[in-house]
Amino acid sequence: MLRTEGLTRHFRVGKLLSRQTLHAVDDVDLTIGSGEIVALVGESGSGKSTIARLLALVYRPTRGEIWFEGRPLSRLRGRRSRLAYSAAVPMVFQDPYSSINPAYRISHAIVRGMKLHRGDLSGSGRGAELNRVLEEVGLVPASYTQRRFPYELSGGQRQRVGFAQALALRPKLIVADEPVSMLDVSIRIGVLNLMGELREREGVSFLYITHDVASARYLADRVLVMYAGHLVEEGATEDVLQRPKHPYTQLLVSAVPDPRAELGLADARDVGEPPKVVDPKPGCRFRPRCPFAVAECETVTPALRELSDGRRVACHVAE
Amino acid sequence: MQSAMNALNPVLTVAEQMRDACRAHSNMSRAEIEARSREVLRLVSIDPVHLHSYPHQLSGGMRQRAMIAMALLFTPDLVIMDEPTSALDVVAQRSLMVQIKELQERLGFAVIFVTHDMSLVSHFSDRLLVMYAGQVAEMSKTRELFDRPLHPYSHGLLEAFPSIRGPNARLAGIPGSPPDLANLPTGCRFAPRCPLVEPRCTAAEVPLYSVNGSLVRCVLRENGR
Repeated sequence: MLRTEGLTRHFRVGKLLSRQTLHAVDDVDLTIGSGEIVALVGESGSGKSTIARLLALVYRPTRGEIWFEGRPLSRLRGRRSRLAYSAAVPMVFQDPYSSINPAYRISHAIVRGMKLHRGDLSGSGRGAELNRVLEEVGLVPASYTQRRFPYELSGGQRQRVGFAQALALRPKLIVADEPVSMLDVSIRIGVLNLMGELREREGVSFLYITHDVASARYLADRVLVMYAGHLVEEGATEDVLQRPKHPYTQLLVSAVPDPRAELGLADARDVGEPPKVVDPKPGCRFRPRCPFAVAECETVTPALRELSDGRRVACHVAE
Repeated sequence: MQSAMNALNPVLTVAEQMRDACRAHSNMSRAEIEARSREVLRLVSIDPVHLHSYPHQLSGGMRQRAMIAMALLFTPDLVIMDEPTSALDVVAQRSLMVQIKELQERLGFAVIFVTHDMSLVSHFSDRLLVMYAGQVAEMSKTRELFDRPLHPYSHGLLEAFPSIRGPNARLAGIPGSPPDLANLPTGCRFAPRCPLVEPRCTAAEVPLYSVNGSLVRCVLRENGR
């Protein structure tokens, strides 16, 4: 349904004379199918949120193309077609405390998007839709919730409002950027379950962006692992997390704390520093931290290649 | 030392900030301060050349370690860490935890580690104190709490984390949301969300009961089991 090809976004940093280029996202090819939940994981600064913003048309790609339902976004012309795309691919944000206007009731937050994106609805049609989406995200009774102000709702409820806002646009793909990381731990799982239910009932796809590998495993069908702006591994969730092939994924998975595992200090010690993404040289960006690095890693940037089980890995050594 | 990576002053070098701390809390000479600063940075495995770095030149993990180094300037007995790893990704998080544990064993200070991530401390802490709505809900040895949580809230918390290994079962989490602290429920503060709630839970404030060396605030444990 959505596909990117060589998606790249650079930012210029520094002053006039010391101009440098920050490679936030480099050559990312990803696909998201209909009704699929894809998790995008990686450390902070790896380019996850930049991808979300590229997909939501907040940034324009430096290079590369996004294809949505067979049409390239760079040829999207005019307000009408941009609005139609934004309605089909809405975003849910990380911070539910600042993403809803505190001065208006919840109904306003949801109806406003419908006025902009769904010209087909009459006033009463919007009212019915408002009730439907609030019930859909579990904010019942809808007639009560829609008259509340944001400050009257808890963090988890506000995040549900975020999903209701997205649903009201009849989306095909919801880009959820760290939707649970600001929520109390006791209610995170409820929001994750909500995303799973919405996929079942509404057939929406999700791009679930997170740094929490365990929650990605809980929710997603497929996992994409990012490191320093590159996609380094991609495959079915259980394959990637139980048998990681890329050395970075292996490090990431082994670092996840698990109370159900045996007690004892974690053995492997990670040495090394976060990657340099300002004016990077060619070669694998994980190389300085990689225990398996070979000479080739210094000079040639590994491309994603497919392994036997349909998994794609960007590594010269992995097999 | 606090949670954020922004706790260091961005316009002063690490050395200057350490000097400020030393001047405020002791009467060390300039040279002594310099030597001590180098020593504590080495303790947290930061190259002492970074004494003259500004915080923005350090990575998130290094900034957090520099904060720990500052806390170690005066050989503390107790270090309070409020979410020191919450701004770090899991890889940096684990290496920081291992390092804190090593320092703690070597220098013999105690640590109060404030966190919302139970799985993080499962391998590092001796005892676990679970708070709910401003009260102690349960205090147990870490391993015992993970094996046999006594309070329904602790139990719910353990159920709320998906795991990276083992079966990928559907989790229920804890229904409802944390209470409004300005308008607390009567009796047990967890009662409105508790799956095992009984009429007596809401009748009166629940005291802490002692159960095999653990403390728990739940009427179901009043007979010490």
